[in-house]
Amino acid sequence: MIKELQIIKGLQKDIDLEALSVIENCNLKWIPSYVNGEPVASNVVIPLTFKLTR
Amino acid sequence: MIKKNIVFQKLNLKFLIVLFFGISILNSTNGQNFEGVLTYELTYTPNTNRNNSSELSKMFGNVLKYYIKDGHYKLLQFDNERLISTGIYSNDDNRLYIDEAGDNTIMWLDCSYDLEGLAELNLEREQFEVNGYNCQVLTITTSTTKSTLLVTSDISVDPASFSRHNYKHFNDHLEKVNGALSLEMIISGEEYDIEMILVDIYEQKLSNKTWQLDIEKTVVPEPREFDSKAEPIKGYEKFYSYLYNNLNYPRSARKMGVEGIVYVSFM
Repeated sequence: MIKELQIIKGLQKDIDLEALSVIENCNLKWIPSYVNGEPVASNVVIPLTFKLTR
Repeated sequence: MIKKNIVFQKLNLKFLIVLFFGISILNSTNGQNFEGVLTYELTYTPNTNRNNSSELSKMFGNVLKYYIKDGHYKLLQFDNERLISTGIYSNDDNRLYIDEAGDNTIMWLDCSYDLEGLAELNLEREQFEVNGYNCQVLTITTSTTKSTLLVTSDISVDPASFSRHNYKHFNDHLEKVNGALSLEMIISGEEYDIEMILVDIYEQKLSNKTWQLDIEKTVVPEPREFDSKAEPIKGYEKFYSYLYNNLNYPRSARKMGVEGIVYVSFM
C-alpha cells in the first residue's frame, strides 16, 4: 500500500503532478521492508526522468 | 572505531530526546493544552570512570529548551549557552528531524515504527503537591535504563495529536496516560545517570516558523538496518517500464522545454 506520496525534488508544476499521478495510479503491488521477520513501513524514493524526444 | 562512537553518541542523543519527551507526558484531567517553552537544567553523574560530567555535558548539553504544542515539538540542547543540537518533530509528516550544530545535513527519522519492544511503564497512584503543582510519579524500565519522573497534569498536551508517533512508543505512552509534562526526571543508565529539573515555564503562542528547518542544510533520511528493503512485487524493471509507458509529458512542460529528474517519495 502506498501512502504519504510526495515530491522531494520537483521540476515544474505539471510535471510534478504527472509524476505523482502515474505512481498513484500504478496498480503493481509492493513487497514491504522486513526487520526481524516483521514487515515494516519504509520510505521509497523513485527518480523519474523527463526527457523530451524530438 | 571513532566513527562508530560518533554514531553511538548520535543514537544516544536521539534516544534522550524521545525518551525524555515521550515518557514525560502523563495524565491530564483539566484538558488544558500547554503551548510554550519549558527549560530544564541537566546534571550528570557518571557510573564508570570512562566519562566525566563535563564531557557528558559537552555531548548532551546542560540545558534543554522544549518548544511544545499539540502535534509538534522542538528541542534545543545547549552546553553552556552553545547550541549543540536541535530536534524537530511535526505530526504533519511524522518525522523527527535532528539538526546537529556543525553538520551540514539534517537527519530525519521515520516515526511510524520502532524496532524495539515497548518499555515497562508504571504510574504510582498516589497524588501529591510540589510547588503548587499536582504531581504523580512515573517509572519506566527498559533493557538499559530505569527512569523516574515527577509529572504534573497541570502542564499537559493532547495525546491524540501525537498518535502516529510510534518511534520510542511515544503514542503508546500518551494513550496510556493522557497528557502531563515533567517537573523532574532521573534517568539511570549503565554509563551515567542524568537528572533534569524544570527551571522555567514560559507560555506563549508558537508560530509555524518554530518548526522550520534550516534551509541551508541538506535533509537526509537516517539509515536504518533492514533485513530486506521494499520492492515492487514484480521487480523494479517491470515497475519502471509501467511508469514510463504511462507517463504523459505535460503540454506546458513540453512547450517550455522542461527536462530533468523528479524525485518522488512514499511509504
